[in-house]
Amino acid sequence: MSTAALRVHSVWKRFGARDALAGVSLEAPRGACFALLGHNGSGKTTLLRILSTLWQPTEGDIEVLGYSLAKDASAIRARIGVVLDRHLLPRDFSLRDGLRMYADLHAVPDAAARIESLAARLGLARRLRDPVRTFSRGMGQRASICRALLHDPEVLLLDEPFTGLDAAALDVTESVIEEIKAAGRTVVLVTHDLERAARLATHAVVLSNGRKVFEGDPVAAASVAGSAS
Amino acid sequence: MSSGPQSGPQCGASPSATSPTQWGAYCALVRWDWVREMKKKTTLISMGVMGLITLFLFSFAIPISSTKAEILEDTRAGILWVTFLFAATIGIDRAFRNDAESGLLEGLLLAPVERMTLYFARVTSTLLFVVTLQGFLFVLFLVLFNQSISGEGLVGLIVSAIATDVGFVTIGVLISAMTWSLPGGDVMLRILLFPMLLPILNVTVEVADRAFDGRAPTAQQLGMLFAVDALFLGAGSLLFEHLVNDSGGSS
Repeated sequence: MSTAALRVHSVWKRFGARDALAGVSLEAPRGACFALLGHNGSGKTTLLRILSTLWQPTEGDIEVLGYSLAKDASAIRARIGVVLDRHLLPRDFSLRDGLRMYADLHAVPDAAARIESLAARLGLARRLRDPVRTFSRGMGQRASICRALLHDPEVLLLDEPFTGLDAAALDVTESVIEEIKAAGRTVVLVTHDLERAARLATHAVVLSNGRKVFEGDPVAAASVAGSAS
Repeated sequence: MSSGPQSGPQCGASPSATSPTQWGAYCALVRWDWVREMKKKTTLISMGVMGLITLFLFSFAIPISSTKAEILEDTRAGILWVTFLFAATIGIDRAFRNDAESGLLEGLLLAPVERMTLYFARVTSTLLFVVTLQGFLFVLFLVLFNQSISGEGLVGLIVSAIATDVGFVTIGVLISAMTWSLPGGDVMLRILLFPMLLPILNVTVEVADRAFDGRAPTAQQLGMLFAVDALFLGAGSLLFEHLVNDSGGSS
């Protein structure tokens, strides 16, 4: 089994004539908090969606936890948690039922207790009975993190997890990411919040126009990303 | 803040998650599809209303009188299946459209479920909606058009209807996955779907016609329906994965 959590080798993604990713390679060790930085349209979200198995690369090889994305996508999905720009929960369900549905799909044992504890940790315990459609953007974002953590994923992929959160929710989300790191899980963080990225990440990559332009220390990466945008 | 799991970091504490079996995931998908539909019943109600309207329009268009009984005898099987088809197409169109628009489809695609399992689960739940609806519309049809059907004919009709529904829903859900993201996708669905259904519709209308006369379907007729089911199931299992990969729009 590979020691790298993520191995991305010469990955291209084309949408028509446009290269959203142009030969990106990177490797994230297990337990790393890996920040993907760059301006809008740099290819960060495209790479995250490919890592999440939602999109296929046009060219190149990807391994997540030693599993090939081309051959073992289902095994990868069992081991990753993904937070995207939408919460992905059924809007007419209560938060509890929505999380229960995903817990069933992931065969989470003792799902009820897991849901209670995650909702409490993310400040949503009192909203478990409420329909998801009544949630604000920030609550939806926290519900999304609950959903992504249900099955205790080995790799957590976060696309702009801080967007739309108030100060208290920002602190909770940041401390949750710290706990995940402390538990030895790997985190991939796509964000425009360079300050937080520099604080949370252990490794960083800056993308620009689909190409990797920097890889290394998160503080230096944040500086590169800041000057590029 | 309340405490999390008893041991270790709260969010990283292992609940010993395991990969679900595909059968377990299939059952969960079908069950939750049904629960979601029962919550609001929008698909069933939309299909039911469409079926009702179609039946009422036919009841006005075709006189139900003793002097014109032969007209109804010639057309009743067609009326029944056109009604079924119009109503069920609404459910098929929604097989992916609603979930895709709400983002839920991405959530399902992120679950550790083979694409084929997701496809067969969605076929099964849509089939359940369609069969439920057909039961209701069939009773209404018998009442509105003053028809009756005998035991042997009824059994033949049920068997052929289920065989037809399997083929219809199987190919319909596949085309729905192909068209939900297209502009005018709902119209495109019908344009692509109806011509593909002609072979089974011909047979199933003949079977329904025989059923109203109290006769069972022939082995050849049932064989044709099952053959088309197998063909459509094969096409669905081969093509569905390619249709949902790269889902969710562009970057």
